[in-house]
Amino acid sequence: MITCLRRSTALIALLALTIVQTAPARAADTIKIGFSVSETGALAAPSIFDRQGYELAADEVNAHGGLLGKKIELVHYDDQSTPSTAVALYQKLISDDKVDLVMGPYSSQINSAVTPIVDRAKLLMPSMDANPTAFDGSHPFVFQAIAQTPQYMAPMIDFAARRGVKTVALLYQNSPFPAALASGIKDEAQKHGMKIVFEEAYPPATTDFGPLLLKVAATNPDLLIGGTFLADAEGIVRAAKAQNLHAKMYAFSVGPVEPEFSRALGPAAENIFGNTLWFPSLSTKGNADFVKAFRAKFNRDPDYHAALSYAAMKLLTAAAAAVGSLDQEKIRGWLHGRTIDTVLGPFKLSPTGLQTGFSSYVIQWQNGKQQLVWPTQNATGTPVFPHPGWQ
Amino acid sequence: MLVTILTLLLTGVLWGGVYLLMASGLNLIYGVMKIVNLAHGDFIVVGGLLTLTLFELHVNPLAALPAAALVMFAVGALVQRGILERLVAAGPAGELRTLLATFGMSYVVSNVGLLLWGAQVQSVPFLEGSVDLFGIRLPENLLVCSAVAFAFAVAVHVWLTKTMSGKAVRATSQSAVGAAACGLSIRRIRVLTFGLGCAMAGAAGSLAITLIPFQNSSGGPLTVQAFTVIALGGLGNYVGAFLAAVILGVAEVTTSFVFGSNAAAAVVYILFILILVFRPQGLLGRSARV
Amino acid sequence: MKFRVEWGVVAVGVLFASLVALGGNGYQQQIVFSTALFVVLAYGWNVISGLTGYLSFGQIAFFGLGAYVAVGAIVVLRMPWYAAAVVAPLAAVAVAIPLGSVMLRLQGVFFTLGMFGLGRIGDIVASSVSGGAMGTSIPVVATPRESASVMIVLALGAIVLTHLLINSKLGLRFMAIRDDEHAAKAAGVPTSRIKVTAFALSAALAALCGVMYVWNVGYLDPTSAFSGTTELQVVLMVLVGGIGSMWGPLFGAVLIALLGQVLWARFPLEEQVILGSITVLMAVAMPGGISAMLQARGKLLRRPVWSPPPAASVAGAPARIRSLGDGEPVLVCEGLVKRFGGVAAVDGVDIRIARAEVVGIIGPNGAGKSTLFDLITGFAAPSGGRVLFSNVPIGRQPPDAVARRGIARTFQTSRLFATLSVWETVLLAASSVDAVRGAAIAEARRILAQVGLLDVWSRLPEALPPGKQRLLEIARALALRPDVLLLDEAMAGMTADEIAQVHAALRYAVGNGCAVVAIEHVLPAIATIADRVYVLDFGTVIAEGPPQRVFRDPIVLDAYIGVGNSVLDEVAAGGR
Repeated sequence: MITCLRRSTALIALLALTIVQTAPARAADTIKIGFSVSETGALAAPSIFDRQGYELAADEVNAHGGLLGKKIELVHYDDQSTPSTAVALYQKLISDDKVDLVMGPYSSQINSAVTPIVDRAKLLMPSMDANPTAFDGSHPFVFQAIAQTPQYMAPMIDFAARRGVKTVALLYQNSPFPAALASGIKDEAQKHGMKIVFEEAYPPATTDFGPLLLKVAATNPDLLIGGTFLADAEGIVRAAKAQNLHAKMYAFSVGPVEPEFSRALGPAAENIFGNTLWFPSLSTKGNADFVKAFRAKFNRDPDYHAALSYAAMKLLTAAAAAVGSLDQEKIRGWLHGRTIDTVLGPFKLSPTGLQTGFSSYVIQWQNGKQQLVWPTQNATGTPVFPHPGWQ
Repeated sequence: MLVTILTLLLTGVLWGGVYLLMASGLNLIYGVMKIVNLAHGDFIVVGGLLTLTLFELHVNPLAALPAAALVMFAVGALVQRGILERLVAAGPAGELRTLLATFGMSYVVSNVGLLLWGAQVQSVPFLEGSVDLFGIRLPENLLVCSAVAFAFAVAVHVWLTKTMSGKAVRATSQSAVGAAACGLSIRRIRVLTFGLGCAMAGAAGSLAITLIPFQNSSGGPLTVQAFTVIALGGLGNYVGAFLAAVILGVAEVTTSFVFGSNAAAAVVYILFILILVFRPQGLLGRSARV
Repeated sequence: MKFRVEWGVVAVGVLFASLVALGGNGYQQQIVFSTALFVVLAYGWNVISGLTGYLSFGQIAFFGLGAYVAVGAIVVLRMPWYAAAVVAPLAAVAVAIPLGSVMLRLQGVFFTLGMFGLGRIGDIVASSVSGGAMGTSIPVVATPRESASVMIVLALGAIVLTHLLINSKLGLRFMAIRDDEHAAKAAGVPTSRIKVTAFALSAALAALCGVMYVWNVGYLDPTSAFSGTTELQVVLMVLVGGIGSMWGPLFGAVLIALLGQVLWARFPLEEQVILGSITVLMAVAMPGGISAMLQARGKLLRRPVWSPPPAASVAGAPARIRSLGDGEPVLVCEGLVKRFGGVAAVDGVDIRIARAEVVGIIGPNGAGKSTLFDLITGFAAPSGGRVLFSNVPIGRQPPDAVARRGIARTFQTSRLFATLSVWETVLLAASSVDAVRGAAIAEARRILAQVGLLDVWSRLPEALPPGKQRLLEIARALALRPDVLLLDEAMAGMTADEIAQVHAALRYAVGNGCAVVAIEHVLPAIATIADRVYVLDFGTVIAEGPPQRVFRDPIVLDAYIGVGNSVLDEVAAGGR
């Protein structure tokens, strides 16, 4: 009996050590920047671009002497595209890894999940939450490092209106970002006098869009527009082609921005419109260098998520360098007070942290490549309108 | 209106073909060994992802199908030989252990899929046009895949009923002891059956990845779907599975059209529960009640 | 004495965890919280899947339900979190009872898959309500210290609850159902009700965890609420620790939770491969988990319920005596028919058994004898005809109700409870007819003494020789204090001593007014005690009467015994 007790106590001690071991000593000579990305799960593809943007920015800062005389060390984990995992991870980053700065995870819902944690810990976070609702002043320590959803599709609708589009079929995924996009689209459409002839939300896991497109086809819309991510955008295009739908224009969020879109759809991706917050051809500050450096490091072209994260990291580190310390209040003050040029254009915050500087652009797949087609002053190609039919 | 109804019906029937192939492998395995392979859906996904890789090497999916099927056959045979054979002798407790083992396998396979192919959603662009049949528009790839699926399923059914080896498999499913007494190598038959079941899953995946996008984690819902088909048709019953697959296909497509996609997502599971509750032996099967 | 050690270890563990919960940093507190959460989840799962043997892969559905009810209560009804912690489990029970009544009618795999499907449905339903797949933010959030502390208390509660269960009549019934549901019914256990109880209990614990999860994280989305990975982790934990055991869930939860913390940070992408592989390994190589390993070495063995039996025989409860008119038969079968497809196993059987009569039923194999017993005891429903017990039709009563009413049976092939000791087997039946604990204990002891099994009261069936196993089945049947005892080839394989012991027990039962109906092939054994014998062939009665006359009946000789069979001489020599 005594041996049993002794043995069990030893076992407990061992387990105790495991817990204790999870509180590692701090290396005092690096600055830790923590975040989570969705390495796995439904949001993985754009999320990995996010991480790469952060990594590239951190490399560049380190190459130029680091931040406040120390090297930047990135601490990141996989939140598996799940908000509550992200919450636990950010708690870990804050209490266990004791990071000095935090960056935002990918997707609006995950950002909104971790916002209370970060705010409570009084750590400033450049948030990738595109929905304006979180930025009402109740969480002063987060700010929007991405354009607001209502503005996303504005250029797209504007372009469509100028080309005489009158009827719109709207499909969107039932999650926060697409839902917010959808309401933005409806507002814009109304402003331009366009009529929404069909509207339906679908669950995120939908794979077969046949029946949905059948319904759409019956309403004969000029424009088929989707609040989508990648898989659903692909599915809708596929179903549209299978039905031989004859709309004049097809536009989706996120999906067409990803290189995977064209790879997966082949010729069906031709002449599909997408919206982006950034494009390699933009003549914004440091853009050409950014694109070159990204290509060199990761062997592929960046997308707008990478640009956003790159800019966010650069901004935060620049702010810390400018105020000369890691004091979150001071950094916050610095960021709120000015317009800063980034690879995405001008970064400007409203008093409650809303992003008012970034813009949105319209792209189109032409001959297997993305072209920026609207607004004309940044365009790399001319838009093809109406849709010439499926190949 | 009529065109719409016909389109929905036909599309549903075509999807039924694909579901049938997905489910037939599970049916075969269950019929012979009374094992529900909870990793079945994950094998389907792996088959599809293999086809994706071959497609990137410029191999046509239809040509890739036999390759994917063969690889999955090997995997299945190995799994049976190495893992599940050890659980055969254990009786009713063995059934539970097998469930647990395949439950764990499901996660292993889907995670391996993640490590090999990444987490993003992938699909194969193949035959994306459509065919006009007297005013009814049907997707080309669905037509082709459905035809192949039906053909495969029918071929297996013919093999089971008309050939000696097929009959040996059925004999084993009806009485392992009796079959052994007739001199059949039960272990070899089990390995063959599990391998074949997985091969069918792989083939189904090859076809399905041209129709819907796959992610490494897509396996779970596919397993439930496959199981719904065979439970509806009556476990181990091949004609029943055919009927059930078509019914499920039509039900899903129609529900999606009438009630929206949210309802369609739930229809599989609702149907599943309803069958279990009201007619657990399925349309054509034998009782499953305690 | 052994017990004290385990509890001592638990106490030390709880103390340590509390120290961390109160004094550690946020992350350590979070680890304590999630470990304790898994402990409760594991114990909850163990009740339905481990103790009762109905493997459920959908417990997560109740976790998610609890989480969403909590959100509704906190956000919409503005309840404080502790009120939600009461409401959610109640809601889960309210759902579990009707759901369980339906789902638990299903056999093994179907139940498992049905529950799995429910988990997925929960996910889909949750995605379409309350903010869709995005999830909801909850205004009330605990600090890691608060949630860790409360969770430790709950974990302790789950451990204590399981301990109480395993040492109670309810827990005994769970385990009997797990071991052999048929036999449990024959022992008078109302299996449907008990299974639903187990199911509801598991659901309540899972829902409670859902509430705590919500309170801790402050955010809820369908994917996390109905997470397949969480389900897998819980299954694995209980499997590793020892499914159906007292301490298994604790071992497994602590081990895997802490292992997970280390693994998951270092190998985030491989977490599921590792968990899945361990599950497969455990299922193949160590299905009993750590507990089984320890138990094989004689440690942590489960102490039988309400043991040891009392030293001296307490005055037993009197036998139940039904007021029957004289000459009224206690059991009547009128024109019983049972068809299986085209074959009539029982084809028009009429039988009358009087009170305290001993009747033999003999006949060739396949004559329908065991089927007849199934019909009488409610294990099978007649295709025609009826059974009257004390002048009241059995109707469609389930077997356990028939057993409690007073018809007990044994099975042709022994159906014993593999993990229940001799004492518990008999106690189970005794407690089905005696709600009072003391009376049940007394009766069980009396029966065991009667049949001579008292000295092996703590042994498991596998440790008994075949004759004693059959004796145990008879004892179990007798413990129901039946008015009719149906013995199905009970004396096969017994030694002469054992047969004598059975005869003595039967004489006692008969003396208390119990009728005995025995299917036998061992003719000398039945000839000495039977008043009458029925002979069955092809599902009908071909002869009936006192043994000496029946055994010489030419029809019987032709159909069964055979002319010139030396057995007849033995029978004659035995004489009656």
